Amino acid sequence: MIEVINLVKHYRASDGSVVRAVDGVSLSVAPGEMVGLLGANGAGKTTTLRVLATLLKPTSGTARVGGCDVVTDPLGARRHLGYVSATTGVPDRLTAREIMRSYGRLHGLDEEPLTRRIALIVQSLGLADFIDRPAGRLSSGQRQRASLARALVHDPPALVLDEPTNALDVVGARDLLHLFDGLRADGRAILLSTHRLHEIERRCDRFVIIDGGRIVAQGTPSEILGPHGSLEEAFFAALAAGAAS
Amino acid sequence: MSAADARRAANGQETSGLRAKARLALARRDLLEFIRDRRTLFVTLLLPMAMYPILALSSALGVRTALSDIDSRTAPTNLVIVFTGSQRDAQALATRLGGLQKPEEARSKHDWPASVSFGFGSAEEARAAVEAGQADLWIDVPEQVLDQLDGNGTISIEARGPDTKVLPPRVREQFVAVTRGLADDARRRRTDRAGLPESMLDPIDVRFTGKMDPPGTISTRGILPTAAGGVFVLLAVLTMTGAFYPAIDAIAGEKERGTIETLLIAPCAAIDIVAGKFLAVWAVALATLVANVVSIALTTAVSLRFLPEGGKLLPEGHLPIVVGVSLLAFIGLSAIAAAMCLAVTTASKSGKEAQNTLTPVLLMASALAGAGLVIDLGRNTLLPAVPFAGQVALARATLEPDERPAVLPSVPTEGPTQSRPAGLPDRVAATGLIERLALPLAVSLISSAVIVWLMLQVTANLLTDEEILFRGPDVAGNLWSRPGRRRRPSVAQGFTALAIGLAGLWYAQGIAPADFALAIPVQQAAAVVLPLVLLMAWQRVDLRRTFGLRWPEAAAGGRRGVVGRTAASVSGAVLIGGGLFVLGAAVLLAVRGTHVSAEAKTLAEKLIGMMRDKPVWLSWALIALLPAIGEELLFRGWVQSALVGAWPSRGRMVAGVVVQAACFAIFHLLPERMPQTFALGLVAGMLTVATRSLLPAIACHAAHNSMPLVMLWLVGGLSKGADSDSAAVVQAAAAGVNLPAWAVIAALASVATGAAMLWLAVRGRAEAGLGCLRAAGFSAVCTIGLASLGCGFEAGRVVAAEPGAAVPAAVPQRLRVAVAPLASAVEWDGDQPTGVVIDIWRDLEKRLGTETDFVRVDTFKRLLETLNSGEADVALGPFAITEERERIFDLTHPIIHSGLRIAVRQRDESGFLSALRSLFSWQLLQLLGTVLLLALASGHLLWWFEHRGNPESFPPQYPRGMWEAIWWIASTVVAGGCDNKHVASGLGRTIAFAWMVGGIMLLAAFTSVLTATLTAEQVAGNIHGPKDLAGRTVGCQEAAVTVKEVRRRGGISREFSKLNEALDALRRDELDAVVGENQQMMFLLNQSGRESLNLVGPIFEAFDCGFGLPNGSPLREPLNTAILRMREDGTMDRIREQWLGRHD
Repeated sequence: MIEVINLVKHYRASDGSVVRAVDGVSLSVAPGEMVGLLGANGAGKTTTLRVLATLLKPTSGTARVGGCDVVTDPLGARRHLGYVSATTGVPDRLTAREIMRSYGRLHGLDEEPLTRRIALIVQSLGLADFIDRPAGRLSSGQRQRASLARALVHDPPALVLDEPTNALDVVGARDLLHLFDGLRADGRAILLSTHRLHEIERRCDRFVIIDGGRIVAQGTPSEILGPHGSLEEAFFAALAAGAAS
Repeated sequence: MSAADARRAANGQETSGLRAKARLALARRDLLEFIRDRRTLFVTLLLPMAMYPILALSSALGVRTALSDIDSRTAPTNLVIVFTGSQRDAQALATRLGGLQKPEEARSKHDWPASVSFGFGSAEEARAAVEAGQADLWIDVPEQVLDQLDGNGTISIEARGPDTKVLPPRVREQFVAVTRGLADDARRRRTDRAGLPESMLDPIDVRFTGKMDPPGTISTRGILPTAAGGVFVLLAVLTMTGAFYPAIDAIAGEKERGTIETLLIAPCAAIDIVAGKFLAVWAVALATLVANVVSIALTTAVSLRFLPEGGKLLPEGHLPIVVGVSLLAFIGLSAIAAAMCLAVTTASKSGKEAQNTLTPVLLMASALAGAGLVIDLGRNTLLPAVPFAGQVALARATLEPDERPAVLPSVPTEGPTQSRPAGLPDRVAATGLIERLALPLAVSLISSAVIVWLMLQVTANLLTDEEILFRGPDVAGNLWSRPGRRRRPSVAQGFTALAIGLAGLWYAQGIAPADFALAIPVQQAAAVVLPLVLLMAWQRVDLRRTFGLRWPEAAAGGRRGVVGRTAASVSGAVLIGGGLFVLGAAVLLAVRGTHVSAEAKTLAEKLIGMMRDKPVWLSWALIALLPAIGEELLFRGWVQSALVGAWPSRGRMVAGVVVQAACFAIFHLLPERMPQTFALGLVAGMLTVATRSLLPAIACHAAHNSMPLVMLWLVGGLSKGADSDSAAVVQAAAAGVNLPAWAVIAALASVATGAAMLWLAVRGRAEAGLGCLRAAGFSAVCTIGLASLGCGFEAGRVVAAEPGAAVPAAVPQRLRVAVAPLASAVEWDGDQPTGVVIDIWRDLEKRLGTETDFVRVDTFKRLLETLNSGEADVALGPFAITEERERIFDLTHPIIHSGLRIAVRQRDESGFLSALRSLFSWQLLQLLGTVLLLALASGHLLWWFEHRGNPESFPPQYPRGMWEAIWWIASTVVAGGCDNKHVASGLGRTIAFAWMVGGIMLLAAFTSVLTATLTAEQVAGNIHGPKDLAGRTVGCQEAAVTVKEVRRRGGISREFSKLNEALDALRRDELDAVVGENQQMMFLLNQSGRESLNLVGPIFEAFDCGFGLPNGSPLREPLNTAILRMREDGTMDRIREQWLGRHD
């Protein structure tokens, strides 16, 4: 469902030097799979995910969502994709319902199916309490859930989530991740990036570790963990190995 | 439809319905956001609505106060006058004054006092009363004042006012009015007493008819458009603020909240998102506009009732029209404001940056709106297209019910004043208004739509710009650190260059003195070089890429065929540039005629002055080459690279070229030049983009700028002696030298050819460089051929028109020409006249296109009679042109220059023979003899000294030795030495030396004697002019004026009955010279047998001869023109030579 092949993204810093944000990354996510993208800040996670979300254009390489290339068919890619990032916010004066409704309209959904869909999402994500409150008055956890709801309005088969639990407390984070489990069970492909390793230690099907724009390790949890006791240790070991090579 | 179905349906092509839905959905979302922001809404919508009534109230009160103030100062008061002096006289005067009637005529009612009261008393009492303020003036009444008044003299009245305070002008005016009344009364009495009618003092009675303000009203009509103009500017500003906050919220606010990404990942194109947001922002701006307009309208309606004569300011039913038109116009303005604010905020990275950028933009737009107050819509149909200013001008134009040009009242109007006939109902005036404004309104709306569309495109591009979305604000590490090297300048830097250039241009124009000769190059430097230098010092760029400093490239790349490609593209560009100028001039002529604005005229004069005062190469460099290079570097180099960017999409490339061309046009400041400069900018931009090189653009621009020089050269204005009246030249230059059709065709052909060549150059394969050259040559030949064809047609047309051109319809088919025989000019050969004059006439006849009937007369006197009696239309004569003759009849331009001439006998021998003859003079022979003797003597001596020691050179045997010695001497004298001889002994050498020196002197003496002899012969012998006649025997015709002339010059005259005989006498050498009339002499000398005679010297006592015409003949003009033509093209000389021979 999600494919990234040899993605390269360079940009020019203000002093003229070239920054290699992503330097040859390849990964894939199949339907029903949850892949965790791990890395320190500035490793290139966000850039990769933004390319997938068609917010950035790759310098070279391919990225595909639901079979649609992000460069040649961005609209198609967007239709297959739901994107939530840490910085994604909600309009302050609209209620969650209005947000979802306007987003559904943007996707070209008709009123009837849209209403049904919204009801479905409200139920499955547990938004009933605050669905009609202006989003500016919601707590951070509620806001993230509202964002996720918005991303799900058009029933995307793939979800790309960039550090979705950043602003959340322990409870909120756990609730959100629980939701992700449910979505995966639905058969969606989820690509999740985070630097909170302990949260996803046991939830993901695969891990991909990125450092300096390159993949330094990828595989199933057992492969990654290997001899190490925790994901954290494995992570640092992978970074060291990557730095050495 | 389920979500999956919807997805499948949407997977296909985006339908326009879907896109419209998306836009509306977005607009709805944003509007919901805006509306829920209550505080902003309040400030934007409701506050202005409350403001107008307050504003109106205060201004109404202010106007009212001002008016009542004026009233109080002009209202009539009570006049109190104290009379002193003789009681009886004072009473009488007071009675007379009191009995005066207030005059009915057109004297303002404010002058006459409300009432006049009189007091009487002593001088002290009067003075006290006036000082105290109880009275206004006191007058010392003269004795017998009324008697004097009714008498014949002038009484003098001294009206005394207070000394301690100022007498109000009101009192003075009123008193003067009263005394005037008194004077009129006195006049009437005096005329009555004299028995004269009253009308004696009133020669003229003036009455006005038509619709007029009653006398005495203060016309407030002029105030209204000005005052209301301010309101419109305010309205414009408020509409813009109505767009300000929503725009910031719509984009920058979303960025800050982090919701912009959610829009960017929706399956909509960026333009859809932008359109949706635009709709939302525009809705708010429109709401602001409507709220403001309604408020203003209501306030105006109410406050007009407060204003005195308010009803007259705006006729009934006019207000809705004003509101309607202004609203329509401002809809365009609100859309532009919304789009502009949106564009600016999209370019900003945060809300704060957006506000910082938007505020100055708004200020500039407000200034532009203010400029709309002084625009005269009638002048220019394109002015309403200007954003902000055009709409304000439109709105203000609705307030002028007449078709008066809208200028501030103090400025004298230039335009025609059309007044409506009196009594026309205001309804008609209203419909007239709508008709008048319909076109400008349409123009304004269309231009608004175009501008909005353009801005939305730009915004869509900016919206997805990664740099703006994801990179934080640029942080300067060190305030003075230069930014890193870039490939090209950024868009902001592109516009910065323009801003600096514009500022530089402005200041350069302001600082330089008005008649500074090099003003234009200095301005160029300020406008072009300065920004480039400044910016390149700050931002390092890849010069090659930015300025296109490379040879033209083909689309397929490759370096082969560079030469051919360069040649083809440069020549193509030159053709295009030249043709473009001509086409532009033609279009300008067609659209505007020869009406040029004062600034354009000044500029043209300056340019022409520059072109004429300098050598051609310098003025070409200043006008064509340097500006071309400079402007190309700035606009097509820096600015276009900045705008078009690194990997441009097609749309971006087009947009970049168009915007650059627009900036280029605006830079030239004069509206007349803008369309042409815009076209040039477009073409040059396209050239640069296509060939990726600046060279063709420079060539094109240089060719374009050279055309005025070429045209000026064609007009002939380049030579310094040319018509110094530069106004005419300016007119010709500004009018494009009356572009004939062939020039336009040639221009079109040249543009087409140039484009073809460029296409070949760019598209052609790399190996086709030679093919390019061939194609270039072919096209050049075609162009030249076409142009020559055109020239030929035009020339042929002109030539064919020539003979006819000189002929007015006045020349009749047949002319009667009177001819009298005159020796050497006219003779009768059977029944046809012949002669040089007849041949000249035959040629004239052809040129006039008529036929001739000759009328034969015998004497000159009869010739004149035929003219006077009407028997003949022309008398050939020819007549000497003298003043007395001119009085009797008309004479044409001279055909013959005549006068007196001298004939002499030519000498038979050639110069050489005569020189030889003069050699044998006694003097010369003497000299030669002496030389020979000396030579003999020294030869002997030499031989004697040499023969013993030098036998090879000088042999001992006497005869042989003598011969050698003399040979040696001769050689030495002439050549300075002898080849095969040398002189050995000292004595011999002494002689030799003496002979060498002597030889030089001898030669000199010989030469001078010879020369002197020859010269003396000349001087003593010949006659060369009239001055040489003194003391000579001169033959002339008896009783002619020549006799007197010869005697006057001191010659001895011998008279003959005929000139022939005199010439024969000259031939026989009986005379030194013959003097006679030039023409006759030429004719006689041309006959056989007289080859030995020559005419020498100038024509003296000259006079001209022409043909005779009756006074006021219509033939004079055409004949004169034809005669002049004959003279100019040499026909006259040819005919004369045939008959009279060459007599140089």
